[in-house]
Amino acid sequence: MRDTVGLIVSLSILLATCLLATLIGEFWTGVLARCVTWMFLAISFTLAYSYANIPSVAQATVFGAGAYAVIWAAPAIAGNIALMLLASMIAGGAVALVFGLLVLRMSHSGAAIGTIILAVAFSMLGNAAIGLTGGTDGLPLASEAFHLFGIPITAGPNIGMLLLGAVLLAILLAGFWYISGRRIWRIVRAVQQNALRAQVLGYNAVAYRIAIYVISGCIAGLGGGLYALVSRHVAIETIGLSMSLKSILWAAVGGISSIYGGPIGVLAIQLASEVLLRWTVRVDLIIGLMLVAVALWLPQGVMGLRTRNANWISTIKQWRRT
Amino acid sequence: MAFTWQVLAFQIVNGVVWAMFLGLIALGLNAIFGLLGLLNMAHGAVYAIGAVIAWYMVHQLGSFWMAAIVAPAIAAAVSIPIYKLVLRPTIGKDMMIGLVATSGLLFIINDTLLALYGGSPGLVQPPIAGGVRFLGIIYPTYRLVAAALAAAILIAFWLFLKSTAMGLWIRCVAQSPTLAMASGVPVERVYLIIVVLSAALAALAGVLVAPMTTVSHQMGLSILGPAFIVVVVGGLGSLGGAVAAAILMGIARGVLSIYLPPTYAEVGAIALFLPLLLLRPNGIFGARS
Repeated sequence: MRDTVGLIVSLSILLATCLLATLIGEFWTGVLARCVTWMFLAISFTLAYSYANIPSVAQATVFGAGAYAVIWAAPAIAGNIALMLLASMIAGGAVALVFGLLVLRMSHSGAAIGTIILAVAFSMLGNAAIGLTGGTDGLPLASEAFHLFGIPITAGPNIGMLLLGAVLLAILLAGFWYISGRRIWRIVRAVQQNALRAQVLGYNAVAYRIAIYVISGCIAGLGGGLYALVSRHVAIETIGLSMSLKSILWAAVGGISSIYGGPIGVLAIQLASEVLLRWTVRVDLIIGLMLVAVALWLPQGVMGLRTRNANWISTIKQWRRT
Repeated sequence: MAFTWQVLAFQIVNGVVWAMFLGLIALGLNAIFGLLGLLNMAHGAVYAIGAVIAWYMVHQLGSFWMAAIVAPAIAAAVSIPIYKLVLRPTIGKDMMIGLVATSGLLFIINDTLLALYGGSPGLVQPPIAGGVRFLGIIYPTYRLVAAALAAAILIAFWLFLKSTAMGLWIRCVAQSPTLAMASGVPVERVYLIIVVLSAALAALAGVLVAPMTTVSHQMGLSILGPAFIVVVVGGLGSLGGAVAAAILMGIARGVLSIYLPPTYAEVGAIALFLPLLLLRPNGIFGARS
């Protein structure tokens, strides 16, 4: 079923973000550009969790694979942004394929634990392989004449990169809206709701779940690639478990069952964190409190409020009728 | 590190010693998952609290063994309101809700430790100096004493499960909370006791490990991977399996560290277990999928 309201809400938020960036200073434009890259990560988590049935606590590792792919590929492809982003998607998809094959046969909880193990292992490995990843200091993006199909683009936390990210995200959201009304998406939903039943009906449930997880990996990788271009620098903390947990927070705040919730979650949490940073350095403490509050009082997230309100309205209507 | 039989013996003993502490941490993680159905992301942070308390006790009061009593007591006391306010409302709900809540606790504890302890790693001197000569090696006495203590606690916990009324209740609730409740088992009390015991054991593990590693506010994050893999390989809900997996992993890490730097050895030990999970996704001692 197509969620037109969700699409309109998320596209409006993206549009508002771009308009806002033209009015505020350079610093906040950079913050918003980074937020847009994280929106890909939040959406990829929702896709993996809600449609591939893999509660992936390693999405930041996939995101980081995309980011490092851009850093490593930049000198070889002479600033061609389209090729860089393609490389980041392939890297994200490849890492997700490996992770998916490892955890697919596990139970729901087992898969979550499996991805936690992978996230921690890759984080440790990344910290140790300083020559490859730069460790905690990270690696800078090589200085190139960046261009997209011949149009020069300046990499960095600027309005151009924000617009590029927002356009790609809008295409992704609109594409999802289109696909979600097609027959193939009904099969995905059937597999997600009961894989065994779908298998008995003749659908290859394993292939559908892996395909969705790889697509979620490509989306996370693309976000990572954009992040590398916006930040011009990638450090190992980008792929850490904390980053994955933040992506879960963003998805949870926006609404874990709707991919349109990701942009809301990222903006709400990250802008709140940036504002709070002006008064306190204990931002992680506040994020922790937010996580607990969301789990206890807003488990369906902001997008879930629509369902809750719709239920309230129908209850009131029924009560009036009787 | 060049290979000699002494080095191999040292690393195997080291692996078994390390496994006792990992088993202590995994025990609580496994019990909380097995009974409450929660993936406790904050479990490693409680272990870090134990290590930080040990550091404070040694540097402020000069007493290490006092920390072995104070840290578990503090962790147990704090875990009661956390259970009632945060964990209890998430039991029986979607797994992700519990994961989000405990991740929140992880952030809160880590940042509080950073505020109180600071970001620089610290060292804790072992309370027992010297070494014991056996198998052609000289092994630090403290490590053997601490491992023996951890093993004794693991055995005591096993006896507690097998031969006390509360142990029987815990096993009943692990199998079916609904049936246990219908039979008059105080399920709520069982949940609370498991949370308190898990927190106390994790903090104690942190105290015992403190003189063997560098103490930092983030040390709980790096232990999560090995602890979870031990739980999965041992079989979710299988306490004996977790301890057996911890020993296997400890030995693998020890042997690998002869040829590799410590971090690579740790990742290598994890990587060795991953193919096993493909063959038996529910662990060696878990039910077949």
